[in-house]
Amino acid sequence: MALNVTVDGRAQQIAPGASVLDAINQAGVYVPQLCKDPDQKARGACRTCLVEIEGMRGFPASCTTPCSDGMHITVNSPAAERIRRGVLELTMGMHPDACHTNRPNTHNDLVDAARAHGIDEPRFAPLPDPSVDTSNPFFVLDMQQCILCARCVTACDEVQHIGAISLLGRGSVMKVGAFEDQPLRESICTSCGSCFAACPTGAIFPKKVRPAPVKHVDTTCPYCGVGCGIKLDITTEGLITRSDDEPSNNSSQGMLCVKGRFGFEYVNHPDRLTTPLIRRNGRLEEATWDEALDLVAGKFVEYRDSFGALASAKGTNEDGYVIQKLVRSVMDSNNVDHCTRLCHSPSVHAMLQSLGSGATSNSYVDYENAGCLMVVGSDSSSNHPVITVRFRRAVKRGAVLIVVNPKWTELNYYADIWLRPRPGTDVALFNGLAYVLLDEGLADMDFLNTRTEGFGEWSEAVRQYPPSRVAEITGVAEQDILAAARAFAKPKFSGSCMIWGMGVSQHSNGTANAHGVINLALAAGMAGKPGNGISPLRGQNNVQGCGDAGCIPDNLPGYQALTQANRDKFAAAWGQITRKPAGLTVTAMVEAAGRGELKAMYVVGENPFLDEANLGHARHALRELQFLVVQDIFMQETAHAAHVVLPATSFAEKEGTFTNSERRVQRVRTALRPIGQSRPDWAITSEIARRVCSRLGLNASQFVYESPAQIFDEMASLTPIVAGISHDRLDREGGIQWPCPSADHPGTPNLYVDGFPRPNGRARLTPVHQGAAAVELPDDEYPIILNTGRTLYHWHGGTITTRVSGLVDLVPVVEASINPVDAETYGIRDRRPVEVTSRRGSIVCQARVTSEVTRGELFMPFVSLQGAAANFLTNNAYDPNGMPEYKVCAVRIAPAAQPGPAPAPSAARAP
Amino acid sequence: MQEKRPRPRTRRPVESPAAPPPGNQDLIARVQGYPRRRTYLLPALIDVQHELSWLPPWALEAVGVHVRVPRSEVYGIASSFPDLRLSEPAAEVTRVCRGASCRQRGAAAPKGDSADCLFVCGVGPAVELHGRLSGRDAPPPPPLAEGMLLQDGTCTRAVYDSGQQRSARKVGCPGNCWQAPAWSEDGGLTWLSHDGQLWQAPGNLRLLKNIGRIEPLAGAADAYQALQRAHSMGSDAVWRLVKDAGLRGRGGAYFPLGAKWETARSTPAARKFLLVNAEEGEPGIYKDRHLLEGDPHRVIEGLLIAALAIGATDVVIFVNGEAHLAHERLLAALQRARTLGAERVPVEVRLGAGGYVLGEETALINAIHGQRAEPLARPPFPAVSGLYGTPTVINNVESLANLPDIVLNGAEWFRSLGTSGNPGTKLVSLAGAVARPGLYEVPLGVPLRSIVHDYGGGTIGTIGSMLVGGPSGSILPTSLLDTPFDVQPLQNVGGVLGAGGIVPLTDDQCPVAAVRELSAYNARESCGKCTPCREGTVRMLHMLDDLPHTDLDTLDDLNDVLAFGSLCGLGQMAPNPVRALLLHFSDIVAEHTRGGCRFGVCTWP
Repeated sequence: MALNVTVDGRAQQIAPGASVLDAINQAGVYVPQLCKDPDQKARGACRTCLVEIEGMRGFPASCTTPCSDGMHITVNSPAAERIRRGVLELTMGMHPDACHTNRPNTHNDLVDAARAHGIDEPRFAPLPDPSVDTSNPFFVLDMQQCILCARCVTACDEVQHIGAISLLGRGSVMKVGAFEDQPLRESICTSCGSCFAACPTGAIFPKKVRPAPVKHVDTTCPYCGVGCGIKLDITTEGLITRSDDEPSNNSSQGMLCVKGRFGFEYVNHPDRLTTPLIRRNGRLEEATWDEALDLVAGKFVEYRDSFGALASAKGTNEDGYVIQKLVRSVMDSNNVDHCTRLCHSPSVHAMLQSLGSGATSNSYVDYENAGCLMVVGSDSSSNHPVITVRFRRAVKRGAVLIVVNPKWTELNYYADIWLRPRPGTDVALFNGLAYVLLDEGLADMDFLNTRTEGFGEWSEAVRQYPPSRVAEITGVAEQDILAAARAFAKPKFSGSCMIWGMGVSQHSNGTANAHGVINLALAAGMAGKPGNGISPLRGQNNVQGCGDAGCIPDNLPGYQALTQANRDKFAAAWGQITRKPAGLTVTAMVEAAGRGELKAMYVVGENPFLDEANLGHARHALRELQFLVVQDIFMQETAHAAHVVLPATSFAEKEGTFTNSERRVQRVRTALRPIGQSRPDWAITSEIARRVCSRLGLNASQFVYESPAQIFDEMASLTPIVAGISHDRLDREGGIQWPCPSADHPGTPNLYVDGFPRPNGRARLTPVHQGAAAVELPDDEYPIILNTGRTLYHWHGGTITTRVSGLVDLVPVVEASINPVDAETYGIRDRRPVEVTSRRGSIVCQARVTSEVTRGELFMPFVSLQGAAANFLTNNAYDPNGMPEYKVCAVRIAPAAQPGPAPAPSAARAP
Repeated sequence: MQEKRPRPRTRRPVESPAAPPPGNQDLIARVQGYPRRRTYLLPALIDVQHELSWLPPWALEAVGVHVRVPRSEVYGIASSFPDLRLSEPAAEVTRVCRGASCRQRGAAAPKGDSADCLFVCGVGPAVELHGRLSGRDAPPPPPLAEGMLLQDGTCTRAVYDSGQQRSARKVGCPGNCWQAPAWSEDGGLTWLSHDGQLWQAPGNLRLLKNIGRIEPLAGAADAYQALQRAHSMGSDAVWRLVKDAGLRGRGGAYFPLGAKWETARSTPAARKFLLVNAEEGEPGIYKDRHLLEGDPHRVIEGLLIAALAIGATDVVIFVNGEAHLAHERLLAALQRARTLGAERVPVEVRLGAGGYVLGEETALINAIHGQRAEPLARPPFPAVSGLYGTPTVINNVESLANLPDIVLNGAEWFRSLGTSGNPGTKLVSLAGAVARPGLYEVPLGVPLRSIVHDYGGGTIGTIGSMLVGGPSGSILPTSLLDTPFDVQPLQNVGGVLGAGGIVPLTDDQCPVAAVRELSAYNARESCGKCTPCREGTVRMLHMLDDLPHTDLDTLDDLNDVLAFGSLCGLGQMAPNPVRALLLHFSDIVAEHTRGGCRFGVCTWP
């Protein structure tokens, strides 16, 4: 029932609960509203929105006054203007004439307000406030232009829930600052930029100044699996000047991290590949597209029966679909894979087996609404920052947070319980947690009886893991095991979410680990309802989509099995399809290349020369290939060894879709024209495919696509989970979560509401047992466990982020985190160079002495900086699904003689 | 090993908390004993500062981790409370009180730190040496026999160590600060001091009637009888009674209790709070401490009656962090009340850490929530949504202390003193240029002259002006001594009643300088949230400091911006003393604009 009000005489109808300011804005009347952020609650602090309201004394603040029916609001009266002018003069009087101007690439709302109220010079002389913080590489915090509206602080504390900045002091000496008034760079600020986006006067302004933008494009961030909505500002020359958040995006809700906010310098970087390259006489030389594509097509035909393709988890769904179509329908092979192998392949495999579906069962909003979150082996603050905001919100609402991780992460600030198991003992831990559920009657027996199968065998296995035994194996105290199990099984409200990351999957027992966490979630009945969920956090922006599109060796698109019937269906659409059994995983491809069995590889947007475990061995193996094609945006490590390099466009130069970790398919849109001669991946692959087809006498028109939209339509027609999605629909409605079986289906926020997509509709409990903690454990020669992972500021190997100067400024070197006791033992000092050596290689990096890691464990991010790359050390021991054991290998550490690039890795050894 | 290249500095966002220095395990354990909720942020910080005398970074972080508030926020919140120290203090701290009445009584210019008020105005000028308060010189009493009563409270301890008298019974102080240290040989009816003066508290004692006669923790003979009667009357009847009695809030706003209670009563909620405001931050006001030190059971009884009438499920008492004796006696009395079975709802006591702005209801609520000491926009008003989102009534200690007598004696009785618009008595903190500075219970409506002469024993020297109502109050000329001491009559002459502080100043004190000190206080105490107050109070101070270059029209505009634009009462009422100055002392102001101060006090570079 709308309220009727008037604003300066104009009648308005407004919803109940709206503020007077809402009515004024709706009426199109101008009133300053400096501290009112569109995405935050009204604060009532700036006092520039004061108006007259009939029947109310004085000049109420319109932002915090609710409308009532029949209200008469006067904005423009001499009396109200006089008071507002006085407030504005006081505001302007805070600073020297800096507030008369707009800083480049920012806007100053105060300048607008002053102009509207006819203020030229305030009557109050400025007070000096020299505090300017330039420590952050991306933006400046300039108190000289700050009006203390606190929108930035609110964005940091209450929207992003990071809490790096606050209002310090009180009264006129108040300022915005960080803990102990340290420079921002030394605080817990993650440079997410929410403060920068909220500032109305340009007091927080970007360091990089670009010409004014002419175009704004809505697209999806290409970094991580959260899939934040971004708005790119583009100049006439096709430069990206700024990336803004998108408040209406359901996945990101107006938030970003440092990479999504400031990380797009790489798109216009001079290092971008602009022409095809062919290796002639040992050197890569520029070539034409025709030359390169002909050569590639020819070689693909030549090596057709010993061929493998690596699709890109950073590419679009359309890119991926075309690659696997090339492999399956033209190259007569199932040897297609992508980096999920190195990431969540055990999780996906376990989920497909147990639950019938290979993706997170819930939506991000369920994390926020859960009563308990168990986050296992995931440093989500670094790798999924915007999802982590949801966790923080949940904790603030009273949810219990249980963190399972051998190393301390930022989540520990919020955790109620921290389980710190020995690396590789997670199966025992999760069996032990399940034991407590069964033993104390906390399991959801109704769920187990009606919706699962395999209880008997599973519970027998679990019974062998009483807490006392588990405590011995894992090193976790019994009372913590009990507390965690109880909290997870019986949250005080709502449900529990089981969330996990690489700490579960990147082990030689990764699949067993995944079964362990899935089993526990099933035992507690935490699937199929809002507020609960079974949730692997997907890493790359489109690793979910790449698997959905079929770039895996043992499934067709949409996880349809390689059955006769399914192949027939695809064959009917494509003309033909391979009848061979499941193909090689990427790790198997590397091994096969080393043995000479795989002779040609098509590597798209992937970098096995940096990502594989035991790089010495992997590089050696891949160098055995007869023909290696690398298609990418930069010359990365693998490209340097390639026979042909093809320049691809970045996400900003093509149309397509990404699918994020909550199964939401979202649009990627062209913001600028392709750099140099680069072409979209799908177009390159299609062109290669056409040329191979014509050489093989196959129908090349199968690979004639007008647009990525058409590619998606083809995929949708063959793939039930995305059958109802199209570019058109996404443009109209925004992102849609699969399964979406038909065009009128709204998409699916929660899986398993009515059943599990398995033959009998039930989930399967898969018994698992704790085996050896890892393939290579410490010994006298190599006494420390190396754990590898990532850092917030660099994306994975660093190919992209080393081309963003601000990120390199923040993290210029690889740091090995070592416990103080170990540091003492091995003579290591903080921030000094150290040499870390395994049986497979050696690198020099910088030490970081911290108790975040426990004794006997090191941690390093695997980004390659200044020649140090952790994967020279890691062990190519595999889990049954081909996942390398990134999380555990044995190393030794010693102070290094001098800093500098790594000595060459030691000679490759066979595994 | 020598290194030629500078070591690169890597960003370490995932910084785990700094380890506490060794030897702090007990303190850490105490911090970790609090529930892990933000509302325990301030109590934990106060605990830490009590132990370490300041808040070092590692401690801020430890508290933040425990209550799950990021450390920058903890630091920022701590910095909004003036009594929390974020840098290590000097080993020995001296504070000299620079409040109006202490200055009138000859406070020295501080060599060390100055305090805005040490809250022992009656025995000023006051100084705090290494944490010990000390007031004016006073001859000690002779050895007192058993059965004699010795006045014993924070103020009296500032002039005399009551521990020296073992035989006498220690009772609360009946309000004769001027006479301290005083004793009674007749059970508290009359009081003696070493210089031979005899004093009896001026009549009409209601709030103060037990103080000085009973041992504070024992309570009066009729303690909790009113509460019993209230329970048998029932919530509705008690509310109606208080409404009929017309009791208005004694914290300075004079809002009718019955109306405030009604809003809370009529808001349906599973939990409702009564928040007792014992922060008493206004300089020159110490009446609530006095009640808590001298007759804590009366206050407790009053709040329990209020809780019943409101339908409160919980009570929180917020006590000034430096009111140690009041806090101690309140806790002990609560303990006793519990054993007597009087406490039917849980009562939690919280300590404050300073801040005049906590006189604003939502700022007080924010402090308890573990947020910065700053107000929120209203609506919603606390009676609808206050503490933890529940309907919350905030009442002043003095207001609540009136309730037991109202319940026992009725509305008519209550109305028999005071005025029809504002019935009852008011505790007046009278100090400055009077012979007998003290705490006096005065029927509302009596003329100021009566307070100064009949209660205060007349002036010392000739008075030239009077500060009435504190920093949000006014300065009045002697020509207005006949003004009745009530809200409207004072308002009519540009005065403010406030919480009951009256400080006559001798005619050698410059009114401009006196108002300048009040403005400086407001500027210091501004929480900073809203632009008019944060910027305006400082500008106002600059203008008063530089009257020769001040445009009085601009000053007038500034007063309006503050009065109409500020978010809360601190800013809204900051112009009051200045307006009163301009209204009543215009010739002195005019003289100052021409660069002259006939008192020889104000100078300009």
